[in-house]
Amino acid sequence: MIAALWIPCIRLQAVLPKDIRQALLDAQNRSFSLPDFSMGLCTDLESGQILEVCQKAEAEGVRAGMSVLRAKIQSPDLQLFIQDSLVYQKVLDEVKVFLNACSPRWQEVEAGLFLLELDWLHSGISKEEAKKTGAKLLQKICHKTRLMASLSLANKPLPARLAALESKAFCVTVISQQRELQLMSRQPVDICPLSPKTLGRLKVLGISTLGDLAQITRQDLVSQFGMEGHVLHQASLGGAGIGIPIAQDKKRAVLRESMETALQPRSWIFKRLTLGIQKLCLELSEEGLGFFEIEVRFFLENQSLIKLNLVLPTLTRDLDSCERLFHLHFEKIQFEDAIAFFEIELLKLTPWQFQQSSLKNFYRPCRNATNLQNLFYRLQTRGYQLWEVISSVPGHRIPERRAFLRSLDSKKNTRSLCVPKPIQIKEDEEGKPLSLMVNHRAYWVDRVLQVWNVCEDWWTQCPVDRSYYRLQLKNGAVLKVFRDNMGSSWFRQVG
Amino acid sequence: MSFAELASKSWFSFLRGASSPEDLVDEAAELGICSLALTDRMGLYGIVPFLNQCQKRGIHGIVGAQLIFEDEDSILVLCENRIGYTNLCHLLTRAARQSPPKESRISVRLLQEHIEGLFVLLADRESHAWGYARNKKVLKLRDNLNFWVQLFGQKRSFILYTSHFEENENQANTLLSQFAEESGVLLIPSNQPLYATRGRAQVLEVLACIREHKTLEQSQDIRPLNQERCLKSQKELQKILPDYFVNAQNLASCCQVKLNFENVRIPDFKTPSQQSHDEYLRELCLQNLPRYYPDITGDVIQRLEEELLLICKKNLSGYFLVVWDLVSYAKEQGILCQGRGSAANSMVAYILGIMPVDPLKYNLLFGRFLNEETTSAPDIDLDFASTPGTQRPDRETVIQYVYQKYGADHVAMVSTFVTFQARMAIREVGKVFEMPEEVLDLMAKMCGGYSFRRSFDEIFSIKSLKEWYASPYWEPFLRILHEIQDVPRHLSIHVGGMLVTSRPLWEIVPLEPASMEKRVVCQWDKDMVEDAGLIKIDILGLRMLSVLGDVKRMVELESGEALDLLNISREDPFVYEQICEADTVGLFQVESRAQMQSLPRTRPKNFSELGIQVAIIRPGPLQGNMVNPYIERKQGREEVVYMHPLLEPVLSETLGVILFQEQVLKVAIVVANFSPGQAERLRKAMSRKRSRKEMQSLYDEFVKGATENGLDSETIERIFKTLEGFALYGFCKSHALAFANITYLSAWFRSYYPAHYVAALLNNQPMGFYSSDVLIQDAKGRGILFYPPSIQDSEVLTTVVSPMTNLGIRLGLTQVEGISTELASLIVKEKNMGPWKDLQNFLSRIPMHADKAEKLIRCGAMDFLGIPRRELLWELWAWHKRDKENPKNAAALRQKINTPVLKKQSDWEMMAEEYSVMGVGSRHHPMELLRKQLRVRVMDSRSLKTIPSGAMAQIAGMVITRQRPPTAKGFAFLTLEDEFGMINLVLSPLTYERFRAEFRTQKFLLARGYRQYKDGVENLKVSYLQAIH
Repeated sequence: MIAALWIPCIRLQAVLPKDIRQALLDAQNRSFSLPDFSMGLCTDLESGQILEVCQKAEAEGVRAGMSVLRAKIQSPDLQLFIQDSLVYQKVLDEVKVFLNACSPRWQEVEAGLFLLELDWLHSGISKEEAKKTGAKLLQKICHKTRLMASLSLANKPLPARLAALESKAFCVTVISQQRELQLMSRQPVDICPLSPKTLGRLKVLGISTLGDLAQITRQDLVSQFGMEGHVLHQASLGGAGIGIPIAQDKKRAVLRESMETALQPRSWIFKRLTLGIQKLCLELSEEGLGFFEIEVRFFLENQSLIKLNLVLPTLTRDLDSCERLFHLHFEKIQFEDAIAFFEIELLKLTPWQFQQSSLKNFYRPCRNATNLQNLFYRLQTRGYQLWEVISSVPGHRIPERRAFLRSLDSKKNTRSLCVPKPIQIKEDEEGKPLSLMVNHRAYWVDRVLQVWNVCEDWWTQCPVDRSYYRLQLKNGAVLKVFRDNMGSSWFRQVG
Repeated sequence: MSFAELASKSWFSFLRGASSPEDLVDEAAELGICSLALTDRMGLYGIVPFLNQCQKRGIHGIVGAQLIFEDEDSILVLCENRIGYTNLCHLLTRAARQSPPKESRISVRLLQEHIEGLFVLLADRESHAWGYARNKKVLKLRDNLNFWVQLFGQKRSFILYTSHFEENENQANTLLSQFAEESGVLLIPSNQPLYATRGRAQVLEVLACIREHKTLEQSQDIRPLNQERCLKSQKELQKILPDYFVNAQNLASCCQVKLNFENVRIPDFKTPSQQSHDEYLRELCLQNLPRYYPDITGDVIQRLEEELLLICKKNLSGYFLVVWDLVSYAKEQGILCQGRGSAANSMVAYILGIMPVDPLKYNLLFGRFLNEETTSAPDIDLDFASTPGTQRPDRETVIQYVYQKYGADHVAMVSTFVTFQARMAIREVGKVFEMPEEVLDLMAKMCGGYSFRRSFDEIFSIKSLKEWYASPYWEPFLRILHEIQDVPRHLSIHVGGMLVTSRPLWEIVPLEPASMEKRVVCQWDKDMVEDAGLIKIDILGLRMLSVLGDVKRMVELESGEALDLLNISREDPFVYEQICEADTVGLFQVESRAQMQSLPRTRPKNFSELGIQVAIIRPGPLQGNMVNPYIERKQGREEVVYMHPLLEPVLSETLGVILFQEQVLKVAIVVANFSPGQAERLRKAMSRKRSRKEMQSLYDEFVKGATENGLDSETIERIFKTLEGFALYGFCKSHALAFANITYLSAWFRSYYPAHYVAALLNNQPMGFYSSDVLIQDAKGRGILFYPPSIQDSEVLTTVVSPMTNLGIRLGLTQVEGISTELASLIVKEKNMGPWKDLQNFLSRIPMHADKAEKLIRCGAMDFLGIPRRELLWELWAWHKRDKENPKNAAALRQKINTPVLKKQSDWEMMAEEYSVMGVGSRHHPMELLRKQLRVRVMDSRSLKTIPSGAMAQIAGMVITRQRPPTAKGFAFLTLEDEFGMINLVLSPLTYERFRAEFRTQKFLLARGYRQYKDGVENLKVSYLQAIH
C-alpha cells in the first residue's frame, strides 16, 4: 500500500514574488539555477539565511543548472536546510508522529517539496487502517499548517501520486485497480527517465502513453530498448522509479456564450469574459485557486475564428491582478466583425505544468549582473521594484568592484570596499591636479608620477570614464586620485 | 612638421581592428599625418584600397604587416622596396601553407629566407618584448630585442615607443628607451592605432569579445583599458611621447613600393605554332566565322576587324585565348557552359563559342564591354554546369584543369570578405551583450535578410520585444549593430573568380589554402584585384546548365540521336505561349512570383522580348520606374513616343523606354556624337555618382554634340535627365540575352520533354525558386505521375518511367536524406542480383547505418514488403541491436524478430514522415488532409478562379514563398499552395504589420481577403491571416 500525501503549493506560491526578488538579490553572482533552487528556498526564510545557505552550498559544489535533487546530493547542508524549512518540517513531524504510532517501521520513499510518499507496504498496515490513519494525519496537518492536503492510497506509487494530485482537499481516497489502470494509461511516456534516443523512437513508433506501452510485452520492450525497456515495462505497471509526473489529465471546463445583441462594446465583452472565467475557475477548483490554461475562442459573424491563449495563476481570492493580466492580452485583439458567440475553455494545471508554461519564461539563470539586470527589468514591467546590481569581480578594473557585492538599498546590511571618496582638487590649464583639499587642509602636488585612463561599462547604466593620477605630494605622500570624466568631479581612490 | 604613423591596423586584421583602410587614411589626412603604414595581422588584405586612398588624399602609403611567430611573438615589418614586397608576399604565402588553417604562423628560419628589403619595428603591443618590459623582465627583454636586432641588422631595426595611458606603462617605456640607447637602435613614436577615431573604440571591444567568444562582462582581460588606440596627430602625441618624430619620418621616406602588375596579368598561353597571341586569335576567329555567320557580309567583317584591332591594342588577345581554351576543354568533357555579362557584346567572344548570343543580330554594342578609353581590366564571366557531390564532370573539373595547365603557383581563387550584416550581427553582438537567445532568435528571424536600416525598422515593430526597447542595454546594443555593419568577419572564397598570371602569384599577393580542398585563395577580393590592374576569370557554377545537360543526355539516350542546342530555334511559338501564360515553375529566371505576375502582361513572343523580360523584373528597373511604362505600352494602353526621331532606332525594341545600359550608350552616341568610350564614361559617371566636375564636363560635351545635331536645348535637357534617371537602374542587355538563352532552352525542354525535365530538376536540387515538392505538384498538374522511392524499383537518381504509356517519374534513392550516391548505387547493384525478400534480407545484403535504413522505411521505400512502417522500424532497431550484441553471428541475425502490433499511422503522420526525410510527400498534399480539420469554410485554388474579381474569399494553403522586396514600398507577398494549385497573396503594409509573426513564421495559413483579377493576373488581397496548424 502506497500513500501519497499531496500538499498543493498554492499558498506557498503566493509569497514567492516578494521572496524571489529577495532571493535573486541575495543570490546574485551565485551560480545557482534559480527556478529550481528558489522554489526550495523561498518559502519562509529571511534573506540573511538564504545567503548563508548559498555560500555554504556553493562551497560544496552546487552549480548553475543543477536540479534540486542533485543540489541536495552535492550539499548535505542544503538538504538539511530544505528539511529545515518550517513548513516542511511541520509536515514531516506530523507524519513521523502518526506513523510511529501506527507502526515502528516505515520508509520514506520519496521526499519532494510538496509531495510525500509513504510506503506503508512493509508496515503491514491494512487498507482500512491506512484510511483511518491517513484521515487523522490529514486533519492534524491541515490544522497545524493551515494547508489543504489530500491523501490517496493505491497499490503502486504512480497511481497513488496521480490520484493525490486530483483528490479533493481534506479527503482520503482509496484507488481501485480499475481506476489505477485508468490513471496510468493516459500518462505520456516522457514521464519516464529515458534517453532522448529512446523517446524519439517511441514517438516514431506511435507509442505516446503508458497505455500504449501496456500493449507490448516485457520481453519485446527489453529486446528493443534494453535496460530502458525494463523501465518502460515498470512504468506501464505503475511501478516506482518514475519522477514526478509532468503532465496529467487536465481538468477541463467549457463555457459557451452567445452575444445577446451584435456589436456590443468591448468593455461589455470583457466583463462577460472575466465573469465566465471566474465561474469556470470555481468549477474546477475549490475557492477558484490554482493555475489555469485559458483558451477563449471568438466566432465572428463573418465565419472566422479568433483565439486567445494564456496561462493565469489565481493565487488569491482577489482576482484583480488576474483580470489586469487578462485585460492586457484582450486589448491586443482586433475584431473585424461582430462576435456571434464565444467559448471559454479552462484547463486546470498542476503547479509543475504551470511552472513549465510561463514561469520558465519568467526566470533564467542569473550568472552575472548584466543578465540579472535584464531580468530585473522584466520584473519591473510586471510591477516589481527594480533593483540596481553591481557585479563583483576579483581584479576588476574599477577598484571598488573588486570588493564585496553591494546593493543600493540602504536597508540591506551589505558592505563594499574601496569606495571612492570625493575630493576637492585644483587643476592647472592642462587639467592636471595642482593641489588638493583633504579634511579642510590643502596639500600641494609635487609631481604627477603616473597618468592612466579607464573606460569601462559603457554598455550599462553606470558607464565609467576616469582619468587616474598617481600623485606625489610635497610632503612625500603618494596617493591615487581620479577625475570622473562623465561629470568632471574628482575622487580619491582607496584600495 | 610632418608626421609618419608607422604601425596602424585596419579591420582587415579580422576582429583586431575597427576601421576601414580608407577611414584610416582619411583621418590621417585630417590630422596632418603625411605618411601612414598599414600593418595588418599576417596579411596584405587591405593594402590595395589603402594605397589607392593614400594616393587620392596625397599621403605616402607604406606597405607592411604584423608577423606572428610559432611561439606567438610578434613583430611589425615594413617594405622598403619591391623586393621587400615580394619577399613579404612569399613569406606570408609559405607561412599559410605550412600552418594549420586560420592559424598561420611564421618560423624564424622562414623569415631569414625572405628578409631582404624589410625593416622591423619591435615591441608592438602584442610582442613578447612589450610583455617583458611591462613585467620588468629586463634580461628576457634584452635577449628578445637583441635577437631581432641581430637578425635584421641594427640599421634596419627600430623600437616602437607608445603611450596609451595605461597603468605602469612608463616604466616599460623607460626600459625600451634604455635598450635603444645602449644598442643604438632608433625609437619610433607611434600610437599603434587600431581604429581611426575614438568613436570606434567600442566596436573594437565588441569585436574582441566576438573573437574570444566572451561577453563584455567576462572580457576584461582582452579589451583595451581605455579608448586611446586611435590615430593621433603629432601635436597630441608630442604631449605624451619624446621627440623622436624625425626617426619615423626618415624611415618612412626609405619605404617606397609601387604596385604595378600590368606585365604579369595575362597568363602564359602557349599557341600551337609559336605564333603570337594576336595572330592565333585572328586565325581562330577566321576559322570559326563561317559556322556562326554562314553569310559573311561586310558588316560582319567590319565588326570583327574593329574588335580584333582593339583587343590587340589593349593586349588582351592572350586573355581571350585563355577563356576560349577553358570553354573548349569544358565542351570536350561534355560540360555545358556559356558566358554572361557585358562580354556577350563581343563578336569575337561569340565566334570563339564563349558567348551564346549573336551581337549583330541583337544589336549589341562592343563599346559596352571594351572601348578605347577603358582603363580597368575587362571581365569575362563563364557559367559551367555544377553538380557538387557527384562524380560527374562539371565546374570543379574545369577549375582543376586550370590549376593543372598553368601550375598551382600561377593560379588562385579570388577571395571575398564575409562581413557583418543584419542577422549575423544581431546574433554575434547580441551574445556579447548577453541578450537572451529567444530575443535574438526572434530579431534575426524578423529582419528577413534586408539591409541594416530596413532590418532595424522591422525589428522595432516587433511588439513582443517592446519591453526590451526601453531596457538600458538596448541603446548601446543598437548603436554597435549600426557601427559593425560591413566590418569584415573572415575570409571566404569568391564564388568563381580566378586569378591566373604569368608570374608566380605569390610575387603579387599573398596566398592562403582555402577551407575547400585543393583550392588556394589570394588575399584580395574582386574589387581589389580589379583596382590592382589584374584580370580575373569568373568560373561560376550554374545548376540550370547541369539540368539542361542531364535532360539532353536523357533525350539522346532514348532517341539514339545527338541533340545540338545551337540548332534549336529560339522562336518556337509553342514555347512562348506557355511563358506568356506564366506557366513557368521550374524555368530559369522566369519562375519567381514577380515574373509570373508580369508575364501575362508583358507577353514575350520572341527571343528579344524574352531578354527584356529577364532584365526588367529586377530591383533596379522596378525602382527606376521603367517597368510600368514598358508594360503599359506593350498592352497598348500608352502611346509609344520618342523624345526625338534620332532615338527611334535605338529605343524601338523597348517601345521608347530605356531599359538597357547599352541603350544609354547608344543614345549618347546617336544624339551627341559621343565615342563608345565617352558614352561608357558617361554611363558610369551617372551610375556611380562620380565627381561633380566630371559630370559637368560630360554634360557640356553632351550639350555641344547634341546641339551640333540640331536638337533644341529643351529636348537636350529632357534626354539628359532621362538618361540620368535610367543609367542607375539599367540592366546589361548582353547579360540579359545570355540568360534568356538558358531560359528559352529550359522552357523548350519542359515543353517537349516535361517528365525528363522535371526528373533532371529534381536530380539537381537544391536550386531555383521552388522546393522539390512544389516542382512535383506542378508536374502532377501536367499529368505526370509520381512514384515514391523504392529499394525495389528506384534507380540512384530520379528517372522517367513509362508504365502503361503514362509518363511517370520514379523518385531516386538519393532523393532520401542521407542516402549518398555510393550507397544508392550499392542498393541498385544488389537489387539487380535478386529481389529483396524481407527487411532482414535487405539488411544482411546491404551494410548500412541504422539511421539510413530508418529513413528508407520512413519515406515508404520499403512499403512494397507489405508490412506497416512502424513494425518495420521495430524490426530494424531490434535487428541492429542484435547485430551489435552478436557481431557477425549470422545465425542469430537470421532468427525471426517478433514485432508487436503497433498503432496504425494516420495519413498525416505518414505524410509528415515523408516530408521530414525527403522534403516531399508521395501520396497526399498536406492541404488535402488539413482541409478536413478546418472548422471554417475555405475555398481551394480552383474554386477561387470562379468567383468574380472584388469578391471576398477565404482560402487556406501551405506557404511556399514569402517575399517583402525593398522595392515594394512595404507590401508583402505570399504564395500558398494547396492540392489543386497556387494562390498569390498580397498584403498591404498595414496588414503586414498586423500579421507579421504569422507571415514570417507559419507554414500553413488561412487567409481572408478580396480576389483581384487584372490582365490575366490573379491575387488575393489579404485582410486577415491566421495560422492553421
